[in-house]
Amino acid sequence: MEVSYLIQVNNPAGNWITDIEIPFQKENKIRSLEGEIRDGAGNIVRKLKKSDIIETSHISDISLYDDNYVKQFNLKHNRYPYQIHYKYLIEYTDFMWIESWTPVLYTQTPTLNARLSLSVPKDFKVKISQKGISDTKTDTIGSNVFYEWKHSYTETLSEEIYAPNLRDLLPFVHIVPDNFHYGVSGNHESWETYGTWLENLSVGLDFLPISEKGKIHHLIRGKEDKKEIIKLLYNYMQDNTRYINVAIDIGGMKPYPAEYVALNKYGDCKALTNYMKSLLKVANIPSYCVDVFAEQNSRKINEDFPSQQFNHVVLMVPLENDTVWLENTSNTYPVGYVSSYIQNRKGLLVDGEKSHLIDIPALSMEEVEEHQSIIYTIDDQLNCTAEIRSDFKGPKFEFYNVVTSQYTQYQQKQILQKYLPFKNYDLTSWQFQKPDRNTPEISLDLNLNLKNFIAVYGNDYILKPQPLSLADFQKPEDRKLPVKINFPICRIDSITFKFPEKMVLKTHSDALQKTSSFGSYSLEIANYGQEVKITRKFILNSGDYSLSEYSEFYDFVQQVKSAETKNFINLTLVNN
Amino acid sequence: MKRNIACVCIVICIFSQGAISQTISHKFGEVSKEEVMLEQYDKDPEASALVLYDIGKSVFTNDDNGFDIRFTRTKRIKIFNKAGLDYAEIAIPYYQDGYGKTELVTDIEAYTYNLEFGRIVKSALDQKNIFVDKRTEKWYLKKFAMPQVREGSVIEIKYVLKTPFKYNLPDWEFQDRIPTLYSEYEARMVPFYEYSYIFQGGNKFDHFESYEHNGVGRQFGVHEFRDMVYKFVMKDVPAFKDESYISSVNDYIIKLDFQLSRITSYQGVKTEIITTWPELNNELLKHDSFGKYLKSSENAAEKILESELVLSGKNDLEKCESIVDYVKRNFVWNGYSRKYAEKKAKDLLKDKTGNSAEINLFLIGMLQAAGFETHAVLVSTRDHGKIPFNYPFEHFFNDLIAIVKIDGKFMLTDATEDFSQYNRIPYRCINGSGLMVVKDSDPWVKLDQNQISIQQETLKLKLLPDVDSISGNISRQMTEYLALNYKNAYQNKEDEIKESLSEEGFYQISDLLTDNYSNTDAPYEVTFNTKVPIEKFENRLFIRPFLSLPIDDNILKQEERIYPVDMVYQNRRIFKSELEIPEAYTVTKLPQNYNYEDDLIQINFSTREVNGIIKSEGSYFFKKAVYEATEYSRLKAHFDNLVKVFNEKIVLVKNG
Repeated sequence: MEVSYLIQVNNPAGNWITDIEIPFQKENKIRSLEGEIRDGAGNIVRKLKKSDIIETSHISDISLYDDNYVKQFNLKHNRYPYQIHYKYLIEYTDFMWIESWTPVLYTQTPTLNARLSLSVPKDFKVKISQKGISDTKTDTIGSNVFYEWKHSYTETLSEEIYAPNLRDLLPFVHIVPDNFHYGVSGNHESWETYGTWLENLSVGLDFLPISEKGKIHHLIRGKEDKKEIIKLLYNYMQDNTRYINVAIDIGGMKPYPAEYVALNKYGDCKALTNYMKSLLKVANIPSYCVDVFAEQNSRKINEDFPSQQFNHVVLMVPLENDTVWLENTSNTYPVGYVSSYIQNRKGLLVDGEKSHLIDIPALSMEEVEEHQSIIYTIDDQLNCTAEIRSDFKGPKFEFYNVVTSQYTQYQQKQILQKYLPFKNYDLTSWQFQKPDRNTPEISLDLNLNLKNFIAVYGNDYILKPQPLSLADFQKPEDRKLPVKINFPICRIDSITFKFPEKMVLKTHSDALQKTSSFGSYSLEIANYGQEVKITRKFILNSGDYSLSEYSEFYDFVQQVKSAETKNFINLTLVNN
Repeated sequence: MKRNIACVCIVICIFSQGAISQTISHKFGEVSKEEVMLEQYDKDPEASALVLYDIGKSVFTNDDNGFDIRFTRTKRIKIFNKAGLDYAEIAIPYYQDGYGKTELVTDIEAYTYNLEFGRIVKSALDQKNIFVDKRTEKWYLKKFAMPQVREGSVIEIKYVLKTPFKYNLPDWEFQDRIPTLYSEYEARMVPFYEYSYIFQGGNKFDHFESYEHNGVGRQFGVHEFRDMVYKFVMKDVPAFKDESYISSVNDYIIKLDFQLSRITSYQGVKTEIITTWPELNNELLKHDSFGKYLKSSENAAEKILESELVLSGKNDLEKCESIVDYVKRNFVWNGYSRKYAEKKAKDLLKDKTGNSAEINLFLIGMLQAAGFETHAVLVSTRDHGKIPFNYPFEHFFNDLIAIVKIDGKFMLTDATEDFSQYNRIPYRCINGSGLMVVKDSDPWVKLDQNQISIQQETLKLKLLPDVDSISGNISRQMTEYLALNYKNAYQNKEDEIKESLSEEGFYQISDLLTDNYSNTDAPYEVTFNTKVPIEKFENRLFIRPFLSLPIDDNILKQEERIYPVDMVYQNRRIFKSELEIPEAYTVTKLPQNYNYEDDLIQINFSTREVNGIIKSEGSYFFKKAVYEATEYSRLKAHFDNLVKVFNEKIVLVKNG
């Protein structure tokens, strides 16, 4: 494959683009790498020299080791505008993909002209999927078929909040060979054939050492209930293994054998999932690998284009009236927990010729329901303390679950101080609690001393409960992308103010109730003697909405926000 | 009966805890059940893991051709919980010079010890699972993950590092991010290589000894000699904990740093590597990649001064400015901090890009050619640590700037940082003192910057009570490092500036303009129009005179402080606002005027109403660039005060 770029830098703000990285894998050779800087008049200012190119390992953050390398160099100049040009050849021997191309180098940088061309022998069959490409051409020249795609990307897209993954919005051309050999031979005819290839790759990798089998039998002796057995084995796997990724050769696709995991007690997602599957097999419980693209903001699977479009694998265990999903890279998830990184999207269930795309369940409203109780106590001297109890589920559970299990107490405190939505306070005590390792809930108790919390205006005291922290949304006129809410938000708060005898409630903001198709918000206020209690409920439904619905969505969020900033209670001195 | 068992358990726990540091064997492979059963470290119950021992030993080995250093390390770590599992991934760095000489990591042995059914089970690392990661051109890592690790495991590793680089005698860190029970370093020195060392961060060793090795003497050429053994021990070293606002971990972690100071050949010829700073300077001035580079820069510069850059008619200051400007415009810094040139001066002219030494040495050459007295200044960047003056070690430096004498006064300068004025040094170089490279001398120059960085905001505000908001025009002017950091952070990009302003509380922004992005002589200016909601209740309105611009949260969160608070440069914030009040409103309360000054801070705030306009002025000035840990609690209280004073509200009430 021949790759060539010409990039213009107009001012110093564009210099970042001249830090070039060309990633490659060990077995792929990069040849004829050339580069140069041209000044505004087109004269060559500098040519890339061999000694300017640094080649190092390029091991991904999640890996202990893999075969990735990178060539790096810089082509920066300081007279504007200037252009940089570089090109190289890269050779692939074994491949599953021919090209996954988008005419976009950086989403925020326009591409004036992008061209992809492909020449293949007539008898070499390829499958092509494309979207949004303006100019496509096919030709047969001699014994070769020649394809060409051209596109320009001038209306740049930027990330926006609650928007679809940009990957789903960019134009692309995907090309795979009909037949391929990668470890074993396979073809891209259908999800069934692709799944068969995946399964063939894992044949014979489920062998476990006798000692390991012995442990399993010991662990589940006398247990009948399948759910109970799954839980025992999953917890066993969690307590005895850890996630370490080592990807060599076709290790990106082929799992390490169960025996390797049994021996080292570590592995990547494929290895750990295959190991978990093998453990279940010992207990005569069948299970299936499900390939998925894991990311909180899900990407669409190109369903008509059977191919490797995934970055993760989980295990699905079908039971008579239920299905259990197992995330095998987490030491601390509850058994069966479907996280925000895989929920509500398609995955590929691998079952030989019966392989097919399936729906991974979505996080329900109940599964994300979050409760918070805050008790503010004010004393005669106007000191204010807050006693906060939060019960987290869903994505917040996931976050704090990581915080409590992977960080030391010292770091946990630093993280809390960073994320607490309060200002000017002393954190006097804090504690996380997990009711049970297999329940997706975590609670946090906090005690704070708040400074400057009470606003004093003569004899009036104004108190404002901490507003819901809602993201900042673009104004409708600035919004370019549709709305996508991946999972619902449900928050139920009870906020109590306790004040001393010398004070009395004078007034407070009004109760409120707002409902829209996007969600709802309600606020109730009640006064019991020396206490005021505010009950607040906020719900945001998950869903996809078109750009035309955005202004309505924005209005709803703004109404909630505005209500939140106006929320107050006014106390005053008794004898007033 | 049950009660009795419980009692026994408690006794065992107490016993094992109290005695753990005494009873641990430091011999590789001798792991006790006690260690595997240990549940926490009493002196730091929060620790996720514990270094049970860490022992290093450097020995000079020789054949007829010369010496190598053989460094052997053994280390045992206890993993308490999941947060400690990271310590079961091992990375051993080693160096290749790119000219065929290389360090080697060999004899890696590693075992994990677990308790299973009451017995210790030992699992060995499979050599197949050791990988090489090429981190940079010259630095490599041998990496592996320990097998069979879980909460409670004890891991033990051993390896040998062989190095032909005598100047790389392994240094030793006694401290880690987890506590260390026992740390020992032994260096066996031979008479041919002499070293000095620096002990940083600690008060004293728990044990130190030095003696001549007894046993059979060694032979090199015709020489017979015995090793001199130096042994350093520290016990119960607490975990190093990161604090915010520190210069560099390197400055604080407890460590021993070695530097080759003298080589004696077997013929008896002594070569001083470094004995004094003046000698280091003399060496540099003779060096190909320093003194000679400088000379050829000067020659090249003479031609430029004849043809391209005309200085006639300018005074010295203007000349100097033109030269710095010329170098900045013609050469691009490639982002690397270096103290030596890595190519020839003529290649810099051709490539138009270079590291900090290449560019600034060229600048010095050019200033010299123009007749200035000028010198290189060696510095250590902020992330590289501070210079200990008593130890003339070259490797403490990693960057280079310039100094030039104008009208009898020295001035620091630099040509790598585009957004700085010609008489400023880059942010990264503000770090203690730098060494002027002058023959037979060692003048030190302070790098802290006396210029105060100022951010001034002027607000013209108008109340729009009908829509519960305030509209206004805000103009922000920044100077010095505040301007530099703002420019570097957002690169004058509208989107990024808007995003950062929204983080400051301004969501609605229009007419955003900037000025002087490329001009370093005038303050960088960002102006915009905005609309912000106001607090309203009943018939009253509450307004902060400077909106959300001043600090509204104490940035100092820790209760106590061990290290200084390093704010790098002195900074002052100034606010001026005018708020127009509609006739229908009357001011019922203005925030109190406030003035305070001591040796740490100056705070001023005043407000008054004049003809329907509320005029407020405020400023706060952090007088020091670096606050000592002993000043921490006062500084923290000042922050509390600042937050309070600058966020008091104006109260307006609707008439009638």
